[in-house]
Amino acid sequence: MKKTWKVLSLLLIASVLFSSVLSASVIRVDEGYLNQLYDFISSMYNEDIDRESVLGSSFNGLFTGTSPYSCFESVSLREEGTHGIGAALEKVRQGFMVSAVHPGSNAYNAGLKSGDIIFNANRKSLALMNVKDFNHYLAGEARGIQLDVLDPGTGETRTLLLDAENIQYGAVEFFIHQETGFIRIHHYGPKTGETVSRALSIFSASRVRNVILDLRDSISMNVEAAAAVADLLLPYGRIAQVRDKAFHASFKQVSFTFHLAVNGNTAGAGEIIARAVEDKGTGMVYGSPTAGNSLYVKTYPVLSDDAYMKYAVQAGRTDIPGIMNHIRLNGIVPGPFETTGYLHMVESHVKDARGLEISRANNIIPGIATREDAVAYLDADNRNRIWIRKDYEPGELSYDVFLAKKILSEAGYFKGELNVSYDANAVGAVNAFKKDMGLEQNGILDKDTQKLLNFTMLAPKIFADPCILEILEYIKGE
Amino acid sequence: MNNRKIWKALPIIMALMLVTVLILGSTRVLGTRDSGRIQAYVDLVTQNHYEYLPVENTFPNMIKGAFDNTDRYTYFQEVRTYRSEMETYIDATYVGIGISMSQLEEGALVENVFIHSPAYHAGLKPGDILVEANGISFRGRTLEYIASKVRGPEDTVVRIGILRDGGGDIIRMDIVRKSITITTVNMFMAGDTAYVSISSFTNNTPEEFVKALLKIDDAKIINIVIDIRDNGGGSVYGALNVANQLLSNEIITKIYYKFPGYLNLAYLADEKEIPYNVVLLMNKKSASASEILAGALKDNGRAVLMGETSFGKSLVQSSYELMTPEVFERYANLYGSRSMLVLNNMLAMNGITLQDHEILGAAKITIGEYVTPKETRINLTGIRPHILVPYDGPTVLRAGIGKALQSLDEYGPGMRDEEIKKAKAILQALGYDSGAPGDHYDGKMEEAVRLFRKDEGLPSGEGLDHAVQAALNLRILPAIIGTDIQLEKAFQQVGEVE
Repeated sequence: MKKTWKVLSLLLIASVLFSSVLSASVIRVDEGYLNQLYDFISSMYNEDIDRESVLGSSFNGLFTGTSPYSCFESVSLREEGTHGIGAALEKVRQGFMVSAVHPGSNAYNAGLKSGDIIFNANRKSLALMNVKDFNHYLAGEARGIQLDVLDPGTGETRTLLLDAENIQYGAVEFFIHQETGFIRIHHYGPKTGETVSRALSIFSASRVRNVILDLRDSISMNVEAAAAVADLLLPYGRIAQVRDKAFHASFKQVSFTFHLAVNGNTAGAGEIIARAVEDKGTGMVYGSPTAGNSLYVKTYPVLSDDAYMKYAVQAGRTDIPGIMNHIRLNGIVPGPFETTGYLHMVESHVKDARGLEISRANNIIPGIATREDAVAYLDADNRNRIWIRKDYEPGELSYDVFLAKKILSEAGYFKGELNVSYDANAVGAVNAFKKDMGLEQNGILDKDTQKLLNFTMLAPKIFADPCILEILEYIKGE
Repeated sequence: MNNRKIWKALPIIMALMLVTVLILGSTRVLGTRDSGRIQAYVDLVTQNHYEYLPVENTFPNMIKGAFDNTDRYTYFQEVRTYRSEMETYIDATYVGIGISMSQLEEGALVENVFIHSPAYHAGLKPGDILVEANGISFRGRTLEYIASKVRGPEDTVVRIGILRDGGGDIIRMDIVRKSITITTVNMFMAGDTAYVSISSFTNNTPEEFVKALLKIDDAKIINIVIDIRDNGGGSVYGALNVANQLLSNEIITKIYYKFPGYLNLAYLADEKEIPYNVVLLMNKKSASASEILAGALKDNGRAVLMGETSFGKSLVQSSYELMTPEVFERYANLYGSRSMLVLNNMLAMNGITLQDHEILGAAKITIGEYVTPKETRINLTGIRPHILVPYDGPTVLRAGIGKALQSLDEYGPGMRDEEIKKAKAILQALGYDSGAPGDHYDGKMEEAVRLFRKDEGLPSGEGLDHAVQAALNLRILPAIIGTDIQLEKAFQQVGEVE
């Protein structure tokens, strides 16, 4: 009897294996035909369109009917753009998803919300544009830019009109107010963990015990960046797991109590961080239940034809994972023209440390419910923001210095004439401010200080936000 | 008399263009290798993507997707759409609601609403997007399918749903289908000025326009207000021929093609005497073929443009059949080229037509654009008027033209006509005893017309002729114009044109 079971189970395993081989077997597309079609379109179409971007939109066609995060992104050979609209953007198939909106920015004033998808700018499709090129495009258009925006929740579209800004917003903004640290992450990128780490060390130097991390109205599918941030908040243990790997926090001492604010518009990265903190008990979660939408998007470079053939021959394999392995293991960095774009692909849901998918049925429900859902301080007045273009040494003249003096005088650090000169009085005020912020008092008005000043200006607004107020009351009660 | 020739030679020009393509297209050797790269990435996606991707859609979705980074007029056409678009879809008469459409992803874009049609009376506007009829969604449907749902037996009701101003909620309206005769040119004369509206361009528009000009010439009128507001375009042939009536030995428009194998074209008007002072009225819904006319008149200094900046659509599309991969391989081997353009041209040159099962569909591609004679690009930017007069209310075409005598004919004693009825009412209102109301040209009417002619100091003539009609229209002009300040300004302006 036992033997039959063994045979049966072996048969079962064999058939499962066989069918998986079948389903993994190749779906043939006629490459010769597609190549000719791409050439045809790129040579006939009225506007300049290179064949690699036709290929890119063809890849996008492959993802028809799935969530917007699977997409092709073109590669940009430009420098970082100086203009923006005041919103953090993530590449999706139709254009850009707004992952967060900056306080007081033009994007906020025009009515842009996190989660919106911008699909047209001045009636031009953004499907294949990347963020850098978009910033350059905005610099060229500058005023009265017409954005067509989709709300994926309701399926409704609307048109917004706004001007581009040449303010550089921080991807992570932080400051200290009455011995409480405050951090808001606007954009999750490769450097997010590093920046948050720097904020925490500044907090440490200023003997901050409680840190408020504002994760409201923030959507990002960058799991790596979320894990890097979560790592800083946890003393050890598993953070999350995705299809082919698990993320862990390193062993360390965490000397803060974290207070995380979430709402119904917190999705992805924010949920991963909140769930990890909730699990390990290194902090409290406040606000209202999250969206329950966290996907793992993996990015593969799209190689040019020549590069594909070169590396395929070197690796002795024709499949992309095989070729990518070869490139990684041999420390190869493909040349600038060898990568023609990126393929972002949803590969799995994100599972929390307990192995449960973060989903609508398993979202983050705050331990302490607060009344307000939306971030109330976003409509801050932004005219006095420093542009953050360079570091200033004593003696330099700049309008940025004037703005810095203005903020410093409002915060009580500076008493003197408000002008564009970085004079001795101003240096003293900057040093006093830097001391309170735990920065080195070297008299230089550097970019970090400017960012902190910008956010300090917002402090009264932020600390009047109903949800943040409740958190502060809770901290006092402890 | 002026040269009123209407060109019939456009197909020849197109054929010439094709020949240049054959010569230049075949020299373009396309060097893309088939390295297996695309297949490798497709494998990567189909084997690793989290959400389900139906196998049978892989190849079709890649082909459709290849068109997605282009404008909305460039897309993959299914076989049926392609075939139906090849047949002209503006018939002379049919039973429907009186609109012309072009295809969009969401449904059909209303290009023109024919004057006095059921759609016109229901308040449909050019630029609306038709998204459903009787509860059936038009998303992704062919133009042929949409037309078949909108049309139906006479006097039946169709409940259509539209999107206006590019979004918002679906607006639904019930429209009774009627037999539609498409008239695109309407006119009246008032005093020494003629008003001519062109509500859309069909292949018949030039003939209608020439008829109107002949009446205007007969009345010795040289001041003309031409109204192309809300005219979303239509037949380019129609616009070129209308422009030809108003220009002499001047360039009407140029077409620039992106592909170097297509030679850029310029259309030249015949030489003739042009006596007219023209004010061209346009607005933000004047598009496409209308902008060819506006650009031609503006750049040659043949008209004062008034109203609002036009829509800004000046693109030229062409459809190319896409063979199935198997048929493609067959002809690639036969003709020794793998260029789709070369193969399409070889087929055309050898008189080979492909059957439905031999094509996947067609590539409809924006291949060029019209520019004005002075080579100003108008796509997306539109044409700016000389005199900006913004106005959003009902235009004379919608509200007031029915009040005017439309110079359709001349009338005399004993005749019966709707225009006679209108004239009687106008005379009565002006204090002349025109007899019992109605459409009969009776004795009292004869006397009233005679008195009116004398009082106005009009040249002697017979009955209710064009001169009397023009004089009557002038007396009631404020009522015809109504709130249409663009038209009011145009009438003021046209008398001052040099």
